[in-house]
Amino acid sequence: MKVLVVDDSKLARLTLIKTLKEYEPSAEILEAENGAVAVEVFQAESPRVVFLDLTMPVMDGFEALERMMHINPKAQVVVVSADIQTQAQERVLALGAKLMVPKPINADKMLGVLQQLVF
Amino acid sequence: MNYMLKQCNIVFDSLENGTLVVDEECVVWSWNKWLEINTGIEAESIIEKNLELFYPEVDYKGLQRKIRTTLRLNTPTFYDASLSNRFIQIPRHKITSSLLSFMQLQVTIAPYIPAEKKVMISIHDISDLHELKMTLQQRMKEIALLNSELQQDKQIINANLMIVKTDSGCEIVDATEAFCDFFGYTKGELIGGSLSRFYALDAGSDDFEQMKEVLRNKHRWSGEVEIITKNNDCVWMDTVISPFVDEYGEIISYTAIYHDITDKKRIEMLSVTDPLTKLFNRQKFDDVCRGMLMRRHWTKEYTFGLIIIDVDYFKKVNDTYGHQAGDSVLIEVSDILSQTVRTGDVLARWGGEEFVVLTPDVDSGKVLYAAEKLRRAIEMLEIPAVGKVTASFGVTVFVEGDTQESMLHRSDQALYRAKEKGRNRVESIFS
Amino acid sequence: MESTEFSSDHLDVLRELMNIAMGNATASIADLLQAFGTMHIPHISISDMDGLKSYIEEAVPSDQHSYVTKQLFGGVFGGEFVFVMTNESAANLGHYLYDVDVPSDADILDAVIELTNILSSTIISRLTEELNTKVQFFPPSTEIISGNNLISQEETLNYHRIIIVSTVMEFQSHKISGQIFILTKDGMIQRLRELIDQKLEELYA
Repeated sequence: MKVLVVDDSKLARLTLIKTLKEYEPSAEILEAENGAVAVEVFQAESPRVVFLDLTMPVMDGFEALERMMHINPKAQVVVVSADIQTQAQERVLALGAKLMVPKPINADKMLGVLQQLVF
Repeated sequence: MNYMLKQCNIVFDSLENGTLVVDEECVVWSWNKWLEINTGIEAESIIEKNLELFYPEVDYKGLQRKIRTTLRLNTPTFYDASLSNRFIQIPRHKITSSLLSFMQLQVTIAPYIPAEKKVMISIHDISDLHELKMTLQQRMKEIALLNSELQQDKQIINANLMIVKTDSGCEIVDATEAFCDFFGYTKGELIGGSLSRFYALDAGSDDFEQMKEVLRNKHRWSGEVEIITKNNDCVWMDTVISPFVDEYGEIISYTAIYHDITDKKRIEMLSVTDPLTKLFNRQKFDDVCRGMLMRRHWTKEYTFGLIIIDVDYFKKVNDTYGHQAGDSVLIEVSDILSQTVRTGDVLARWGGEEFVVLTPDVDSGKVLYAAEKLRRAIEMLEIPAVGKVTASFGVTVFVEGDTQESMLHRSDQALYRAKEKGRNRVESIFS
Repeated sequence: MESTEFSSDHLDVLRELMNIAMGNATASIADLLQAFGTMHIPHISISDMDGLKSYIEEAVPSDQHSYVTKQLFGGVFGGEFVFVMTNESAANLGHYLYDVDVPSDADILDAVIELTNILSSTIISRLTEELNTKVQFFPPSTEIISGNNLISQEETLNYHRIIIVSTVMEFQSHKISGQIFILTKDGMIQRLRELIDQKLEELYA
């Protein structure tokens, strides 16, 4: 299973990958540090699941999400963001995100996410 | 009231600041002793009542918002301490200053029993601090005002007053714009140069030495000096030079302030000058004569002489050639007399065709010689359209006990004698 | 001195923690203002006094009056929280919070204090919570400053190293925005580094 982790923070990516691996040790992890790179990797690798940050340089998560959904409307994108405003949540869900999880990610949150995804 | 709050009230009462507990609706649940004393409101009367009943002027929308924030974030919130009270007003009784009639409060709203939506509000009186701040601000304002006034004054001085600053060696360190403009120099050209180069006076002259002496003694010197501008114009300056001394009494700098008195000098000159001949007038002659009489060191061998000169047959010149020719005779005679007298002699027009000369530092022989020289000079003169003229001379010298009148009287008599004896000659009466 | 050096990992951790903290703060303010705030990437740098001065000069407009609120916080990790709002933003905030067309100076000041309160407590609390430490807040004070001269001129004010954490709070629909600076110095930097090291150890354990 290919999983794309998009975040400009190395710490955020590491935390996420570490918690993910606890439940899915076999997952093949792809990483991207901004929206633009993420869209390229998404196009080339067609990951099953994308964990996407919102506040990033070059291209932010909102735009990356929109492009990914355009490339593959069935993509399972989980937005993991520090932006916990209700309006931000409504917006990403409207754009086609499967879920939105507030940062920082931890084991409980990860379990909740994985239970709602299709592998 | 619950047990816990009662226990806490004992603690609150011992605090040296105001402490109250309110809920989200601003109902009061605790009111400590400090508040009782300073507000005059008993705890019994306010507890379980809404704060608004006692303090209707407080902005409750803002207060409730702060309380909600405190409870939601579980963190203290604050009122701004720098502005006029927005919380309850507590009277202040300071008499020696009337800056604040109500306490300036530092108000902190802290979570107390979040489950019951209760917060604790603590009030600290920071009036003294605030007073200091206000006083400081007031002083700062005054200083700023003074500074701007000073700045303005400085600009006015810079633009209008001619001031030069020098170091202790009279080397220029600064000059006002007015000085630079007037003398036609840039500041750069002036700085580092010597101040004395502007003075028309000889560096060795008496006046210059006298000025240097005064300054050397750390006194202020003032006087009129002639100064040369960049265009080599001579200007008269009323000057004040002040030395500045350091704490050890050593001169550290000089400030010279100049005031252009060229016009005044010109007027002064006009007032002592005969307009036709440009010689000194009678008034100036009187002044100089008075000055000479005041000097007490005259002796027989070292005295001063008085010569009266009267142009012969001047009425005839006027009648024959007209007044203009008469004037030109007076001008020509004046010129030749000016050229012929010694430096230091004072020549003036007495009136009509009469001239007078004061000759200091002579004896009777020397004054006669001087008169004879003048007589000959006039005799040699060739005046256009008129031809030759001559003059008669009456001479005397100062003797002990003389006044201006007595001297004039003698020389007048001598002149009369010269006229009697056929004119164009020198006669003298010495005592 | 080597132990006080910050690696790019340290800076990354700080930036991410700040991002999370700012997310909470933005949500709180969004609640207060009933509006949606745009989040910006936090800026983190280590600098000296001159560096801080020039950073502030670039970040804060020089041709306006600004409301500058400063709040100290203390504890294992202590420092100064500075929030800068232009006159216009502050007036808009006062207008919104006090629901009056032309808010008085006192309204504006109080609104600014209130906003800063929420910002500082949310950001610093969240930041210190992530770093497993506690913090004490001191009463804030606000002054109106012309231009961007936010730093005192005293000569003694010469810290060798300062950590500048800054970001922008922006609510476009209300035309309210402000610049946030979290400043900490010398000894605190060492402690901050230790806290981050613990965090990194947990992660790589």
